[in-house]
Amino acid sequence: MKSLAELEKVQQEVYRRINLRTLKGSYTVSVAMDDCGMAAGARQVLLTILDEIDQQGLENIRVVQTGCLGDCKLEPVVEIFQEGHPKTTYIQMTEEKARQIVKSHLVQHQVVEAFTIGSNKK
Amino acid sequence: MSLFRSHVLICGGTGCTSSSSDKIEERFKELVAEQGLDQEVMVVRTGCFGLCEEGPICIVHPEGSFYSRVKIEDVDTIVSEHLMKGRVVTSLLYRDKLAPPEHQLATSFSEVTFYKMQHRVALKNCGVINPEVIEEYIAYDGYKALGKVLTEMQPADVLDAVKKSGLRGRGGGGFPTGIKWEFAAKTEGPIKYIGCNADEGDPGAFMDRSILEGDPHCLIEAMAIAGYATGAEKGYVYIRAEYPIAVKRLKIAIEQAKEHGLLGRNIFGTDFSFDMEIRLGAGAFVCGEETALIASIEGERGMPRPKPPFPAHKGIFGKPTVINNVETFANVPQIILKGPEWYASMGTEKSKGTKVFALGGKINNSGLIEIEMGTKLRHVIEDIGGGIPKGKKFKAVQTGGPSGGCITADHLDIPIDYDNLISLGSMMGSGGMIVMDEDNCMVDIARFFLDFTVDESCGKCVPCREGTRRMLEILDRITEGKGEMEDIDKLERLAKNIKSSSLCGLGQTAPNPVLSTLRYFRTEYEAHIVGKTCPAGVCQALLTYVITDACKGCTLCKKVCPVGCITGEVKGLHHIDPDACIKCGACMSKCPFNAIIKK
Repeated sequence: MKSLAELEKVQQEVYRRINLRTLKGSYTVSVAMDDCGMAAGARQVLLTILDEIDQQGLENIRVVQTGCLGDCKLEPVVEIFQEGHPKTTYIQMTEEKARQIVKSHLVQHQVVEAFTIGSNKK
Repeated sequence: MSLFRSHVLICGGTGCTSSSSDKIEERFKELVAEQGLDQEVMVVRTGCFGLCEEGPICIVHPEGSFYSRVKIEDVDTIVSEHLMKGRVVTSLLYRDKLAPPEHQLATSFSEVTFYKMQHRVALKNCGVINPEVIEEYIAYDGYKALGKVLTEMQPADVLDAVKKSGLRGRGGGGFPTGIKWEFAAKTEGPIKYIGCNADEGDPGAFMDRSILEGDPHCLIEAMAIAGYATGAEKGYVYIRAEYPIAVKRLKIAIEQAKEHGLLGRNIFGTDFSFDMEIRLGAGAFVCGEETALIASIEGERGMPRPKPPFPAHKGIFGKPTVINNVETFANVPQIILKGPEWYASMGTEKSKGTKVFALGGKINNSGLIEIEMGTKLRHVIEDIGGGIPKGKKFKAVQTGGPSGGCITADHLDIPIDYDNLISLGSMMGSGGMIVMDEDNCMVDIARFFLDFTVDESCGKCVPCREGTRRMLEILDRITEGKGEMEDIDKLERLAKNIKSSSLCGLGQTAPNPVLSTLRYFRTEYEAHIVGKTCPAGVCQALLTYVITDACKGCTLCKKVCPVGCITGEVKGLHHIDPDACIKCGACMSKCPFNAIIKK
């Protein structure tokens, strides 16, 4: 390591990979997994979300998994928590929807109303 | 590069490793690969988490699920339920008994009360990073302090910062670190050394071990900083051979630091060079004394030398040397990065910062904690420590190991700092805290510590070599029921002489446990001497074996007694003749009805 700049580079790269161990997070994205979720494709949704967060270079996001939330026909379900705001529940997620949500909700802080449980009239 | 979505952190400290945490790690890696999750789930071996009572510990991030007392069979469940399906295995979670009833399942590491009540500075990275991967240390600001020091600060600025922080030696002496470094800086070179005392000989102390096992790089960085500040280009780490995991991790860390150009010549492209070497101890407590440590590094038998000259003027190979404890060094990088005012804002007026303590003995949450100086002892024992198990009554807490003394219930509200503990007849020491309850005999405790120091005395000076041995003989007689009242005066006179004339700290402090227990528990000594009883029921020779009426008359005890002192008929209450009884305990271990007790 011949310079402080080199050290800084390594620090930033590696910190992004391991900071989920200590991060409080401005947003917490919770993906419901469990047997029902996985059968509906929750794992691909999870991996897509992670990939999009990485591509967008977002820093303060916690992505956790959780068990079945109960309404299995709405799977895959993703909830987004932010301190001081009500939680947003996105239903019937797909990989494309996941990418849109990351760009809209996490980057631009705009909820994608059409994908939420509130818009599900059926 | 893919982002791992889950990190499974497994405690790799000596404590959990002795409960097979290494096999747990292997099993995790096996199952994660089997399930095809090895690109998503990172399995990491970290250093000690500190809640050793509940080990082996595994924490799954980002949820922060705190799994405690994990067995190898549990790994299957955690992988299939939590890692695959996101269902936290609540049955395996740590139960946070310090939290209100609704919040006792430890679903998030940062919410566990045991940790919330601590202020982890020296232990900042322990349990967070993989100590065998230098990049993880760097990720959490590692080597930034060294970089700052070499590119933005002069040696005098570094000395200033350490002095301003108020950091005092954490090995027990409590000498102001900045001033020690300054002595060495002002002494003529050109060759100087930085020494690290990682001998940690106090029984029950494992603070330094955990720092070395969990975060070895902070020591390397700090020693290099010390080298820059004082003009030294070589560091020696004297580490006891009884810490194989710590030795291994430190070796790996030094190698990785060298590979990355963070040790060696022209660090960060500056003129500064620093190299480090490990020297192993060989089991001698006295080598934790700095001059004996120096002798050992030089290849001599570990025996102390008179001070002055102090090591800062004449140390290893006669050169100016700074010798500091592991924990003292561990605080340095953060003092540089966050500033000395930050450090000095914690603690009391004369004892700044935080201290790591190893809680042991009769305490619910045994393990490693780090708290601000000035915290009340009561808070440590009752709150963080979780109190005494089995509802027993607190009797005393021993601090400072074989050099320290005990503190009774009357003084539990004192704020912990160097000077307060000394005024009570004890000392901070390296940080070992052994908690004792009503079932501990204080005379026996004093005897235990003295037995240790007698064994460890190097033999060089008469007061320690002969004096401590005479004190031990007196204590042995007292615990065997052969003591006399003059013995207490003899102990006190001997203690005074040994303390004032021993060559080194071992002898100078060896009488402390005796003096301390005499000060606060004199009645217990008198009970042993005059009443020939041991009120706590510990000293074997003073106990009587008695058969209670739980006896069913099975005659097994009568048959097994080697001296035939038990009488009784079949189906009748048996009786032990106390005068003939040799107190071997054979009857008690044979009795199937637990009808025989000692009192």
